[in-house]
Amino acid sequence: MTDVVSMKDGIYRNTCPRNCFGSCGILSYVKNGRLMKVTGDPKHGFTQGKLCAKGYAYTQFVYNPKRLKYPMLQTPRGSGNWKRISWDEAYSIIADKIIELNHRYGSNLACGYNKFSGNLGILHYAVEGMFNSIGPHTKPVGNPCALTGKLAVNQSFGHSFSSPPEEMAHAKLIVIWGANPAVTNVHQMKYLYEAKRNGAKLIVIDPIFTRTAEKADLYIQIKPGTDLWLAYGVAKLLIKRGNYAESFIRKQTFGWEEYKHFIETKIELEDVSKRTGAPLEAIELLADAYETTKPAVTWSGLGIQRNKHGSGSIGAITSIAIITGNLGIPSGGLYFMHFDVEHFPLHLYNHKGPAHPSIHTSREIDMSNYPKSALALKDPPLKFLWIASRNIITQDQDLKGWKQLFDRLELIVTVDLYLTKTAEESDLVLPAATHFEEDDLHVSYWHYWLSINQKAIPPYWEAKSDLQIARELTRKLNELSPGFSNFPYEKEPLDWIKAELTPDIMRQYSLTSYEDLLAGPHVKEIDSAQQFQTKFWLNPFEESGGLTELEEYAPEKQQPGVYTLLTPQSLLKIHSQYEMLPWLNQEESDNMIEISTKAAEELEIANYTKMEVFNETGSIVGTAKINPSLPNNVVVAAQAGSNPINKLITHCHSQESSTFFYDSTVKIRKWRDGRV
Amino acid sequence: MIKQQVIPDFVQELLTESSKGVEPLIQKLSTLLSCPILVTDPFYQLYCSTAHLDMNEIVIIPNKEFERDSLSSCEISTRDTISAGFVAPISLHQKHLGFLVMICEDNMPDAALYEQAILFTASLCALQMQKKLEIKQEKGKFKDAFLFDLLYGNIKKKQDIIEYGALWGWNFTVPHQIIVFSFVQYDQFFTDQEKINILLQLVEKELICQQLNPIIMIKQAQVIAVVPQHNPDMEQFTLQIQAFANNVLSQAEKIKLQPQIACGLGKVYANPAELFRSYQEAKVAFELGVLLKTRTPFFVELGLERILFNHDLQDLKEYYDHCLGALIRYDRDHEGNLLETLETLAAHQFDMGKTAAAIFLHRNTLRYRIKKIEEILNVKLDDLNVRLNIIAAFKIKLLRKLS
Amino acid sequence: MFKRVGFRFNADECIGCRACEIACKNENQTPTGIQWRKVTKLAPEIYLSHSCFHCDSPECFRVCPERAFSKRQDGIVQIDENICTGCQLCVTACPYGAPQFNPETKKVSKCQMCYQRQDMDLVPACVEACTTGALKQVDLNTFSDENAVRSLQGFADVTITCPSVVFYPVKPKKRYFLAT
Repeated sequence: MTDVVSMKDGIYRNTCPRNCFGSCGILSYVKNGRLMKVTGDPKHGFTQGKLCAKGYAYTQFVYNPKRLKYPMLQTPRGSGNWKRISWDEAYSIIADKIIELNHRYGSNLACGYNKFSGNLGILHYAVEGMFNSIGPHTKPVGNPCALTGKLAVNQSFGHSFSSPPEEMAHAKLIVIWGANPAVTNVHQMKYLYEAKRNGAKLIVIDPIFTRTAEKADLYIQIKPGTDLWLAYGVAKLLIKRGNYAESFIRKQTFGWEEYKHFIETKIELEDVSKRTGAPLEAIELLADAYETTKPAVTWSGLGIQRNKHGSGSIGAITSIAIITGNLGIPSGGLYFMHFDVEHFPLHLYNHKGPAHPSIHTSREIDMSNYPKSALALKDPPLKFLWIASRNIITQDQDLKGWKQLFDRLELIVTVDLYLTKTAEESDLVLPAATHFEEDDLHVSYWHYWLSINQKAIPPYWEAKSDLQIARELTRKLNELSPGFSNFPYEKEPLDWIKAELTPDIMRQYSLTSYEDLLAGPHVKEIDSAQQFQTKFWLNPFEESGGLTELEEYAPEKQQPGVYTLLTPQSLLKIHSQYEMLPWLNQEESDNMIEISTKAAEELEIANYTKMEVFNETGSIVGTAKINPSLPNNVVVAAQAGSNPINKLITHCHSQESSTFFYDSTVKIRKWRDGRV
Repeated sequence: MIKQQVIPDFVQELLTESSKGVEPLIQKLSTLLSCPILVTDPFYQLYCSTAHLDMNEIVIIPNKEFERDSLSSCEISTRDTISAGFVAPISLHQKHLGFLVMICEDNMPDAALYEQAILFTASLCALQMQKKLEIKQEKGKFKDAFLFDLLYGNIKKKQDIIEYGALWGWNFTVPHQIIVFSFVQYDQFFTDQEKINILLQLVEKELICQQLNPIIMIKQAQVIAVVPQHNPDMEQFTLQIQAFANNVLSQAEKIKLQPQIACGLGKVYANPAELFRSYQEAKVAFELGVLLKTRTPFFVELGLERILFNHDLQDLKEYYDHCLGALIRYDRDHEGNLLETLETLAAHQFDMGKTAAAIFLHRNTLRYRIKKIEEILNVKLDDLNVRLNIIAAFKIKLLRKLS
Repeated sequence: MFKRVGFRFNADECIGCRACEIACKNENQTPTGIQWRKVTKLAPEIYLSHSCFHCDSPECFRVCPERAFSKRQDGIVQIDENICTGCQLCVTACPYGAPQFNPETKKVSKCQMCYQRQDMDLVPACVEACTTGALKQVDLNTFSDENAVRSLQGFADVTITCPSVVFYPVKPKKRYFLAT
């Protein structure tokens, strides 16, 4: 397939590839090879023909004068001296470097990549496939976003688990812990409202009075990172009152006696109230709701696992859903996110590369601690870095580490749609295609719909998909050094898509052929009974390190003047994506820093004046916005923007976890001229 | 066996006559019974009559509650006379269309003698009136579409409007003015069709009295009248139209129409393509008139009021407080009502005599109060600028519902 | 009688997601800065999605010296950009900020309630996009609900213009904030 094929006018099916709960079905209206408008796909059972604001801005996302048009080379790196080059020149520069490094070090371990969630399409695993195809290399592992929660859910269930979101509409009680669907999962809101119209009660627990919290019938504000305690408090009341689903617990759980003993002996309600900041009355109301209302659904948001108590909190909340018996009844449920994509063959991701005579596997480094781990590598050091679907400079922590690492790298290649802050630090940028310009296949991590993404329009200028780049670069490598890569570059995108639809997958999604997906998304059949065949583990349980002694409550642990920094998603961006779109950035100036009324008074910071946020890793100047509902010692900043807040993220690295973004602390002060 | 039925002769006679319309029908009945007959609408407003009566001044008082399909005795009073008579309801399929009234000029005869003839005539009237109503409604559909376009400026060419208008017998080569009548307390869900129809009839009748070919339309809770400027003297015409509006309001008050009626008058436009402005102006005048308690608000006279209504509320509150705040606080602290006194004075153009009469105060008392007011506000009330400020402040109070 | 189209806005169900606002741009491809529809915060915890409300007594209409406005029989107020001279009297007259002046074209444009879609029996793009169902289209000639109100806290005065919109207010809720 060539990129210059002129596309037929008509309506195409696309899927929004963003790192988002929706994975929305899109209908793209194309005329004369141009995307005229988009609408939601009414055949998508979860999104039901709706998109979000960002989705409706896609015409501007595609035809944006700021999009990268052709490959460009920057000499020297960081100078801003960009020169347009041809794709062939770009491939030659990259392939020459890879081959030279291979000759220098006798392997490809000096070559690595950093790729994350910029595009969740299954065909975007072409990046992994491309690196696999050259044999052992340096491979990032882990998931900075959701690993902690994933492992915690796995500990309870033995596998990942999240109820079908459409079923939330039939619940009578919805309890959301640390999620803000009104901003980050807008399409879920209609199921919440459907439930509410049928008499359901919505309870939201969050340190921030979010837009979702605004809509709650009952909102309980707690101190950041104390969800665990609130959950224990609720369990204490339920057990004390004898209101738990005893027969279900005996039949379906492990660790009940230990759990009960732990709650009965270690948890005191006054202590819970002090730690969480929630009054006893609120804890009782929450317990009452769980006790009297069924079916109840419990939703653990990603927010609660962005701190070091995350794993414990997820486990404790899951345990409430279990002991109230809500997992054994129709429309009772538990929500986090699921990892069904792992049930696909993922041929690109799992592509097996050629064997190396002495090195058997790739070198793995933790995504959540990338620069430090990479800098520690020797024999050979990391010399070549490929960045795709990722804007490191606005999203990752440890920017000082990144600076050091970049200085040590001989070639940095960034594939992106725009000249991002990360692209600005690269030697080479390659223009990426939008999802309208490529074929792909999508599975959500929230709902259970499988959907196709059709190539609807010709590429913008010289943009190419990750897969196309992988095909062409590996071909170039083999031209220069025959047999260097074993990437099957003759395979077309549709071949890869069809290969993912194994008979087992086809059965699960009620597909008879690939073409079925062209007529609309298909939903996975979920056998609820089968989900509960295994027993659940109640938390805290021995396998997770036993019934550990609880941390001593130290109310003064947080020093005065030190603020917890929370950096949730903004409404009209996903990380730094969409920030180049004028439609979505019409008024709010960026770098708004929300502070509490008390902090503003104490530090004499007036509304909408310049202020400074700083810690040992750096300093950010932003505009103060006083938020009267913010806890006293919390500061909220949006991600990305011209002065990205990730600079201040401090992550205490621990194995097997995602990044604890919300454990970062900062100090704040009025901004004064002359202070650096 | 079917028994041979005897159909009285009068049935045949009335039936024949009824095909010509309600008027010939009651004429016939009147001849048959040797009594004057009249027909009214459901609100006892005269529809037609065989006697020469002053149409505006007739009042019918039934002596008891009506029973269906029966005759009741009643009293009929005009400007000069009071007569007794019988009244029968005119209705069709439970829809009430009006009354048939027989006036007995001498003494009351036995009702039984007349009952059959009157009830039968009432049925014939019902059929005729219903037929007329249907034709009117059918014609009205096209008429309403045209009027909608006229009122919303959708017909941009003057000539088109003149030609269309001619189809209904309206002459759009002369200037027109729009008057809106509606209910004071209504919302956009107002759906009481019956009340709106009463209002329509009132307006229609009053226009006919003025010898005008009425252009009237119902839109939601509004009755909109498009009135040709039949009098070339603008001043006189304004007085006439004000009288017309006043008459409609008086009529509505007389029949105790609820909710209360108010009106608004737009400007006169010579170009019918600009008439939509008159309509919008009439509606603005209506709303402001309600707030200002002006009986016949003309848009042209509401310049200052419109500016004040649209102005920033916070700013207006400050202005109001600046002008009258001291007085309000004085009243509050001393349980006085000097503000009311000043408001009445302003409403009477600062004329002491009129004001004293209006609030039943002795001139000297009023003079004392005014002095007090001047002290509190620290102003001289004979200063024109002060007067203007005070008038404006009271307008703000009414328009923006300050208290 | 004719259909009288209007909006029905449920403040309790609006999450301020602005999908309506951008769906309008997507459908009508209006330039940046021209906001036929906009979501604003009316009061704490009340969002309002507002556009032209296709008033029963449109002030834009009355003040326009060029007679550029017209009102369809279904109630949609339209502006003919070809007639507009950009005097902006309508911009000042409208209490809802609906008419949008484009400094480049020197013309005013505004929400036309997707009349082309209406003619095909489709709801406006903003209504189609509303994921929670907070924004709907209704026929005001038949709409009736005793819980509906004519205005919301913080909304402009509806007296003169009679906007074709009905509201549902926000319901009371229970909150526990941390002690300060």
